[in-house]
Amino acid sequence: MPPPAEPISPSDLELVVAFRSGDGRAATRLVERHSPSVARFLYSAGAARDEIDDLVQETLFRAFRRLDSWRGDAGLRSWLFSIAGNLLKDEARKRKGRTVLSLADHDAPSATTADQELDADDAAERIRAGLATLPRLQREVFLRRVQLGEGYDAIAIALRTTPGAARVHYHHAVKRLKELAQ
Amino acid sequence: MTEPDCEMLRDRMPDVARGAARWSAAEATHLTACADCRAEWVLVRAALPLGARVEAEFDAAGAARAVSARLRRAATIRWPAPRYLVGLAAAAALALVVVRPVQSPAAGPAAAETRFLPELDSLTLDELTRVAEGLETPLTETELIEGQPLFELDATQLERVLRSMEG
Repeated sequence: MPPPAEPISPSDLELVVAFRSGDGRAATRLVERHSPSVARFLYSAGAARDEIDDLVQETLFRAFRRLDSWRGDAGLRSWLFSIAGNLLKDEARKRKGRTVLSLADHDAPSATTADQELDADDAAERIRAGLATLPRLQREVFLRRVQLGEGYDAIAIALRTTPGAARVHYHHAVKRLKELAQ
Repeated sequence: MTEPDCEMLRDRMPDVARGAARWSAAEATHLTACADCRAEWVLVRAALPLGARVEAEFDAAGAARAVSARLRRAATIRWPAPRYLVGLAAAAALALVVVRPVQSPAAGPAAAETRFLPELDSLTLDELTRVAEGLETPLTETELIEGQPLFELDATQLERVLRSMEG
């Protein structure tokens, strides 16, 4: 088992406190720390690759404008994912249900990629396409559980549901994704 | 020790796939024997690298510059109208948004119908925002759309909030 990760210094909370007291550099550090994983979350949840930059910026801008509503019971990254999820939902609504998922050329593996990597990419893309068809809660619970490694208690806090319901959403997501893979 | 079942393995799969835990011998035996768990294990491991390239290639410094610039711009924006004018505008708007009793032959004279006046439709985003700002107290008791602050709502959302307060 890998050793527990070293605590990052300064912590998110310390940076948030610094930002609130007017330290603009704290915002920069928070964005640099969390924006790549927010980008990954948005992409995995179905955002088009060429819209990721804008969506990440909007997510973090919204987050800073409402930092007071971060209760601290969920980690900052987890809270950012919630905002990103809401943003994605809004975008989908604006498109009136049109799927956001895109497979632009630059998403496809390069010709020089080894076969094994190609297979892995292909499998991941098929899962991504499957995730895009799931109800939002199922999709987000699955991604939080698998990619973030969040437990059901933490997921329940972040998504304002119960641990039991989060477990059921995960179960349904896995079941559906397995069906799609067959 | 409890014999592992599918539920137990399912709960631990993400942690094991991420390297944060390991299968016990009994769990490994179950995994070998159970086709359903094996299919799920393949799925979880395949999902793990999803988006990893996007994360690795993301321009975090660029995002930090862009977000910081937006925050600075937003910090310099001030509402042009003094507070008493905002209140006045709110009062005027409230006077327009009234509940008009309508005589209904079927329901009798006591029946009333809530009506939306068209005036709200003709307000600009700025005007709608000021009206909503003036209604600070009731709005704090109202669940705003997606928990967004007032200044982030667009014209349609602001109008929806205001209409929700009419009746």
